[in-house]
Amino acid sequence: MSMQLLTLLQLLLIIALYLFVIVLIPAAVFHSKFEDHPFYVRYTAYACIGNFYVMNLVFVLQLLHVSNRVTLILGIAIPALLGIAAFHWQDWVKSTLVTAGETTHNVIVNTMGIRLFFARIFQNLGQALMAMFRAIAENISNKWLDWIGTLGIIALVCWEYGGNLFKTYGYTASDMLVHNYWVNAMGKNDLFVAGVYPYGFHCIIYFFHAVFGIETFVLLRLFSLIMTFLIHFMLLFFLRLVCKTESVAYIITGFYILLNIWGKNAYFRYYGALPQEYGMIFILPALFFLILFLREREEEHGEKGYRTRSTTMLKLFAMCVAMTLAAHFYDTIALGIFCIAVAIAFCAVIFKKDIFRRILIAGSMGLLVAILPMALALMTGSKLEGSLRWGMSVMQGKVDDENQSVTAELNQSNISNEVTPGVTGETTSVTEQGGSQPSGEVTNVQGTNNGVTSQAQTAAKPQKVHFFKMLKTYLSGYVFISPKSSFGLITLLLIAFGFVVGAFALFRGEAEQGRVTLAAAINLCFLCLILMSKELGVPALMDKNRVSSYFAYFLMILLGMVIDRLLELGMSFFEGEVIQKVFPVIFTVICFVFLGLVGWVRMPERMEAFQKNGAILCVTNILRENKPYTFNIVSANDELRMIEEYGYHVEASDLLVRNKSWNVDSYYVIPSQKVYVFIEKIPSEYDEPYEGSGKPISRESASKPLPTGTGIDMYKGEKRHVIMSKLYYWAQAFSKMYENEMSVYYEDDEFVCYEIRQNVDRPYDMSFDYGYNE
Amino acid sequence: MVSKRNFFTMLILLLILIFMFMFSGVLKQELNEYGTNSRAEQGVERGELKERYDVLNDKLAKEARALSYQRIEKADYEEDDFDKRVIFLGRDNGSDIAKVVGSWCRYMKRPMITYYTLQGLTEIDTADVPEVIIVDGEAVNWEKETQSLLTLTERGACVIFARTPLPKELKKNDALREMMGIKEVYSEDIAIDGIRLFPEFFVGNEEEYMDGPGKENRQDLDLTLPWYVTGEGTKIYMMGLVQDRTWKNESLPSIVWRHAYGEGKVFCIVGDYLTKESGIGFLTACMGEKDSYDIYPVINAQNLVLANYGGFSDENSEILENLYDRRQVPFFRDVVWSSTIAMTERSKDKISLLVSPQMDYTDDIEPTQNMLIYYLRLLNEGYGEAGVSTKQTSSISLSEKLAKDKVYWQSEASDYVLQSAYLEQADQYEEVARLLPDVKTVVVDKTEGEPVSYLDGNLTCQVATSDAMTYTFMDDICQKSYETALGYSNIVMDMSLVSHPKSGDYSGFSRTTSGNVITYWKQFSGFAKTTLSESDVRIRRFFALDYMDGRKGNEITLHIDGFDEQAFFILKLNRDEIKEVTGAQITNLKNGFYLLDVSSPDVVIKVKERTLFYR
Repeated sequence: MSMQLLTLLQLLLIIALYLFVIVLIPAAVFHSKFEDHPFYVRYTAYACIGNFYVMNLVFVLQLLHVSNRVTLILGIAIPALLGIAAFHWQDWVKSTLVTAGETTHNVIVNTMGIRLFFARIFQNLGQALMAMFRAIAENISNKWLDWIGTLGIIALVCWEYGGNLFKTYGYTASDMLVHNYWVNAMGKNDLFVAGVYPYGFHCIIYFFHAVFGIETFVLLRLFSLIMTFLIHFMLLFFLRLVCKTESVAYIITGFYILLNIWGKNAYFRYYGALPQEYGMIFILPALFFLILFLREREEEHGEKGYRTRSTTMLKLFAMCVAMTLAAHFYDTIALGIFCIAVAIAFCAVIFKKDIFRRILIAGSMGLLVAILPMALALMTGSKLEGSLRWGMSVMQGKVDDENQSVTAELNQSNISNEVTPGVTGETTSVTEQGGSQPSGEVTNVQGTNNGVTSQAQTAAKPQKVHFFKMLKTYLSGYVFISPKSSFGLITLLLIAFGFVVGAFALFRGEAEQGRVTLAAAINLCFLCLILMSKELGVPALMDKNRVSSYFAYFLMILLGMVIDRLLELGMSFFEGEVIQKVFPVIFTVICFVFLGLVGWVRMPERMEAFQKNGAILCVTNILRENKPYTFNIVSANDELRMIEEYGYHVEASDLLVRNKSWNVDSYYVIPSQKVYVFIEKIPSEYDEPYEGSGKPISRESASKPLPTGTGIDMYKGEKRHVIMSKLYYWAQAFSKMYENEMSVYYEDDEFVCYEIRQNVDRPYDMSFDYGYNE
Repeated sequence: MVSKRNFFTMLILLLILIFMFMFSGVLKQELNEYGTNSRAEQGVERGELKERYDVLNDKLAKEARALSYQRIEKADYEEDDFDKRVIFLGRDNGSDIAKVVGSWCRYMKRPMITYYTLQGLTEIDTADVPEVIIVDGEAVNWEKETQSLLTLTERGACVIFARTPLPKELKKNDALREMMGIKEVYSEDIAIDGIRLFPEFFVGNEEEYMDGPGKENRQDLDLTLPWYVTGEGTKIYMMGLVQDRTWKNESLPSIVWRHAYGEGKVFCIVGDYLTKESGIGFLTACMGEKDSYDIYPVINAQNLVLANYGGFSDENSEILENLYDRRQVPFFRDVVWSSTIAMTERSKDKISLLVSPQMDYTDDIEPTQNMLIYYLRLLNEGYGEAGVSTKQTSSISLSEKLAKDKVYWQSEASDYVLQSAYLEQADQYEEVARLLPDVKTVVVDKTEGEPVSYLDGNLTCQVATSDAMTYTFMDDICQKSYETALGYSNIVMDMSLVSHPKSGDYSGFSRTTSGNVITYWKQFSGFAKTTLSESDVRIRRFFALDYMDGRKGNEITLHIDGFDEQAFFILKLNRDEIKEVTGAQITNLKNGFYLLDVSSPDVVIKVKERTLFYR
């Protein structure tokens, strides 16, 4: 079986399981509550409820130290069954139980034969299936445009972001190893193993690993696509909610996926399963439910009490707030800023005592639910995780999170070099003990540097530059593809135009559309201020590189609102139902055709992973072939966390250190039946380019002293090259001594894996003179 | 009332049932050709096989003589023999170790050349470096020979220390120690508590030869050994054990190990295992671990011989009646035979029943009529075979005894061809051959000689490898060794101990022998169960063949000279798995050993290429 096929099957399985647990089970329980709402509201509500429940179920069980497959399944199944019974007792549960009881009685007293019994069951199942297919077919025939649009968006996300999963098997972000470690620790009910951190994302990954037995590293490899789907669907659904012209939602979501204008910061993180992107899913749903709440509340005309339809929306808003905070602080900050923008734009509605109090309580409850597990952990003595301290230091301006290039850009009047920011990640590194520690340095995720030039470093002295020019450059450099482009200026003009359009909509009496447009424009203004925080001398709430991904995402809302308003205005001049229906479709087609013709389509990219494809392929095969804990993998520490629950791992550096101190009396064994040695023939530079990057291992490199350091730092840049070179020659020497016992397990141009078979009662001495011990 | 219709139906059913049961019994009785020996194969040219063996033996001896001259030029010799030559470095060509090496070479079809010094050999080309040098470490002047051996090993020779040099020699000889992979001579002479044999060295299970529950009275190994601690580059096959569990495994004394040195490999065997004939398996096992594969001929025969089987006359019945309330004939018929069959049902052995119609020819007690027919019938049903035994308690001559036995045979089963005989004394074979010309093979008790060999004339000799009464740790090592080298075992149970008991009763004898046969031979169940005549044919074919093998990529080829209908080989694979075999049927003996039942002179074995499930 090819690895691609396996990846496809695993992906389909994960998607199916995710849909079942996160969407279908809540749908089965809460169907009656949302049946009046359109599909996108129902779906968003179910997804939010599902995610919220699973996340908090895991939190509770972890904090009680009773989390395991049984408790997790019971924690899902019992409430789901009780919920179904409670919400649908009169609908169908009671009648079904009665019928089942009668049928069973009939079978027992022999008034119904077994054949008839099974015939009835199959008949009912058949009828249910037929009804379902009929409903789907009816839905398709009624809403075929929506179906085409939705399937189109799915296809575009798959095309743009899915292909990479089949070409690159490793982790595309360095900190995914740390997340892997944290999820592994949850298997031992060790929540917050490396310190207090928003664990919402980890809870979801852990849940699917613990309940369905899917390896964590497989989930982390493939979950990014599900997250990317959801992020784009939430944009689509949000626009469907606020735009009057349906097709605008599809155009904007399609443009967001396809447009070849974004800088890598804006989208590269969608290639990896990372907590921030997971939390990003819930930002727009929070606003979505906030707007729905305001709508419902308006319809309730000040109805007293909390048992109202609007309260349901508020509860969902609170859940979304909780989930953003539970997943990543930045998402809460981004949501908070947007909420402030909404509050300003909707001030006439929100700042009514009844509404404001409700929103405030809901928001606070949401925050409380998310903070509670972390607060409990802090109270019981856990410390903050390293990356949170890094986040704090960014806010305090202690860590310079921006690329020098942008400053350089501002220091010169004639921009001659391309200046683009690199993309920064959190400063977590896998330590020898497996924890994470702040390293104080900013880690670039491989493949995300858009070409920061050295021009920046030559800038001698900062000069005063115009605020808008600086902002324009920041936008162009951080959010868009090139700092030289005029996209920054266009964005600023669009924001200004957004204010005009919003005001015009308010003037025309389209209150909600006008307010949303204004809120989107205000929100972007706030994000601009965060980008300029250093220049303005105010605390930076977020790392600039991260701001850019939110900026691009939220910019599409403003663009959508503007286009929607313009379309509405344009179509108001025409009369006739046919034109009203046909024109948006034609406009959508024209938009995408135009996009294709002008060549602004971003082609799918191949993101480099930190692990070689061969390494992941070998891990997958090794796990399949060997019984648990009968093997060791000797490698850089990449595989340490991937196989933690299935086998043992020895760091290459440990092996080489033991060989460095080799003498006649030394003896070093790796006591397992099989030992696999992973060697990168062309070592990854691991985010640390160096002179000679990308060259194959060599005797020259093996002759160099063994690098020192701890954790992943030991395997970065040239250090990795030296270690891999030494390991390769160690393997060659070992193979000469044990030619029958050591064989090539897998080899390609960049990677080789050796398999050593040994007697565990008398394992081989792995320390010897291989020629490069020193 | 039963209706007529029902009555007839029941009657017909009863008749059918009676017919079915009776008919099978009648058929068994009538069609059983017990009077002839079905093992006396037609078409097996034993004489021709012997001639081929003689030719081959002469050729090997000639080659060995030729190769022993210092002028070694590959072109002068048959390439295969040149490549397969075995250099024995020792002091005495007649030493125990030299004899064992000689036997092994004969079985493996390799010319053996004895050297007293290797100094002249260091001048030869690297390509002509001998494949194997077997060294008697205690019989070599290490001051002179160390450098030569180092040079040859570095250039790719495989050195087998049939007996390691004395510890005091090793202590002072750093270079030799380094070559052997010995890190430290911890003690020159120390008593250990047991020995651990790891899998993949011998055919059969891994074992822990240390006293413990269920292993009472089995320890007979020499546990006073030098304690060598081995280091990097070594692979341990046997190691010493001590009760003190604080010792780490890597520090425990190594007894049999391999060390990579230069381009060559060095195998070391501590102890006197190779001073006995059973040591041949150690040499085979070492060769099996040398390369990625090894292929060599084996006999593939597992005999169970009931020698001196009584129960034909009521001799010694007073004693037997006192012990068992039965006279000899009914006792053997009802008790001994039943328990024997119960044993063989489980062990799947075929019985070679070497009968003693009488043990005492001076009394007037004559063999009972029809008893021989009774046993021959049972043997024929159970795929066994009958033969004669020479043991007697009276003092008449062997010829007289055999003549009297012949009379009895003539009267009971005149057409039965007696092909096998048990000899109380090995030198009785000439008389047996003269008086019983149909006898092709003889069995003798455990001796120090070769387990299978040709006697003068056209007789083969099969030495007992076990008596089934005892199965000590040393017996287990020896049996594994024989099975590895030859795929051969020959259990000879002396049934005169039952008809003429010296001590104990039959239940003890039966329990011990059954327990041992069923338990300890289970690990060799991949080999064929044979009668003496069948094993005789296999031995003759084994001796008569010569072979060549080679490997190219994933294809191992075997060519057999002197192939006669069937041959058996063991294939040892150290890192591959078999994909396809043409020209032979294959049985997995586990731990990398495969038994090939060869049906063609050319065999091709394809091994699997390593492919991962997910690619």
